[in-house]
Amino acid sequence: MDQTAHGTIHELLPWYLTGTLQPNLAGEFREHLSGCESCRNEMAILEAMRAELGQHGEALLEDHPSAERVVGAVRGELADDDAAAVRRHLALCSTCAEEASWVAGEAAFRDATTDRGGTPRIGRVWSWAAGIAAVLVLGSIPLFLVFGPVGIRTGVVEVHHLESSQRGSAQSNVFARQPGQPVRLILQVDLPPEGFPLRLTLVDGKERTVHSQSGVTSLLDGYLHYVCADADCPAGRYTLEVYESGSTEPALFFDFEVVEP
Amino acid sequence: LNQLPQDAPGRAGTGRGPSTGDDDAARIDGYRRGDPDVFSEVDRWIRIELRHRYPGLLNEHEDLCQTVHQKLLKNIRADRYAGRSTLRTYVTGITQHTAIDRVREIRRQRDGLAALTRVTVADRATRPGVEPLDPKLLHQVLLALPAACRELWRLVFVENLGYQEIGRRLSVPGGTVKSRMWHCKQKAMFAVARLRRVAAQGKRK
Repeated sequence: MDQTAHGTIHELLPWYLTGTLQPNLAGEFREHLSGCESCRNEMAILEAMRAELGQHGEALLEDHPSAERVVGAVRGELADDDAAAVRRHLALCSTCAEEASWVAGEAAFRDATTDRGGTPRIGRVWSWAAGIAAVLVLGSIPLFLVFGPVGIRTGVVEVHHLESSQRGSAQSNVFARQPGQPVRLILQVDLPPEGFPLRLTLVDGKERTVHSQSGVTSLLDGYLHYVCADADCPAGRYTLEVYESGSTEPALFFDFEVVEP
Repeated sequence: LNQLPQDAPGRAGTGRGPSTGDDDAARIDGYRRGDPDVFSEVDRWIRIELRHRYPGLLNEHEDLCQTVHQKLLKNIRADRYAGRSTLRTYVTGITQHTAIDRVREIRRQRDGLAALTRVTVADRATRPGVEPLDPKLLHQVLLALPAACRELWRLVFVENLGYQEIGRRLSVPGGTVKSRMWHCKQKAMFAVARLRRVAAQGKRK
């Protein structure tokens, strides 16, 4: 689908569903729908959303009550109005209803060890560590062949390969700068072609923009090569933000830290 | 409850007979002064509650216990305990909502919904799919969206307004409404994809 279609016709889906489009626009959208698989997929989800909102109204959009209110409602410690509001939410929200069942003693919370956010078991930590080590070793072979040992001072240039990451991830990319040399990054940028040209912004640890570059139109072998000049990147923490064309929200982040050797 | 063992949660006494108002006044006084016997008794109430109701948080019981003590001390110092229930009931209430807050935090981290505005590569790579949408998952998706998006969905699907009318309501051009809705729709789709991925990973485990 082309950019124009995404920019205009595609945006009309919610109103096509509610039947509030003008007849000519509705006809145009119907025609578009027959050729747009992503619109048809999204329509199924929006239909479900519309049906649920139609059935339960705006109560479905209200925030979860605080844990304190859930406990208070179960134990009969809230004022009538407040308790009724929490009970309405419990009727709609299965996660809060589950919490209420713990308070009422009908069930116990047992699944933290299977939740990914819980404290990992030792065995799982080791299996993750082994997997990451294998990926790092295998992933570095092509770079090793092209550039020599990655991350080891060659006396020529240091090249660092960064997989795309989310800001705040636990990934730690710390690079020691060669005196007088820039930091060279090879970034894994797996964005769709319609996202180009890209805009890059380098932000330092104090959220200041230290370098911007727009009009990035192509990648080299699927990777974006970014050179962080000596003057732009003194020792410190940085995030390189990658924006798709016309977007105000970054699509990708690459966190790294530069240290003096 | 009557069939539960002596150290079961929610029991008003401590094995020395039922708790009374006088006992609680003495306990509060002792707790405020840092009396080790009172501290141990309250600590035991908290641990019993956590052990019975939140075994899944076993590795975090120590931290949770400390948090409950901090909250309790703060409340007692601020005279927030009004004596409407026994002290033990009050302590177990604080324990309950502290543990629930922790479970919520764990689940938010697991689902990645706290950072929904940051769309990951995995989200982009995952199509929302055409399978029927579970209402439970849909509710999670809606509550994970920013408030501005939820308001837009309300205007569209509850009030049934066209984009021009919404624009008049929000004092913005119709084109801006369409564009904002586009971003909200994208966020919803990414949230669906992310939650489905998390659910699939959970099943594999």
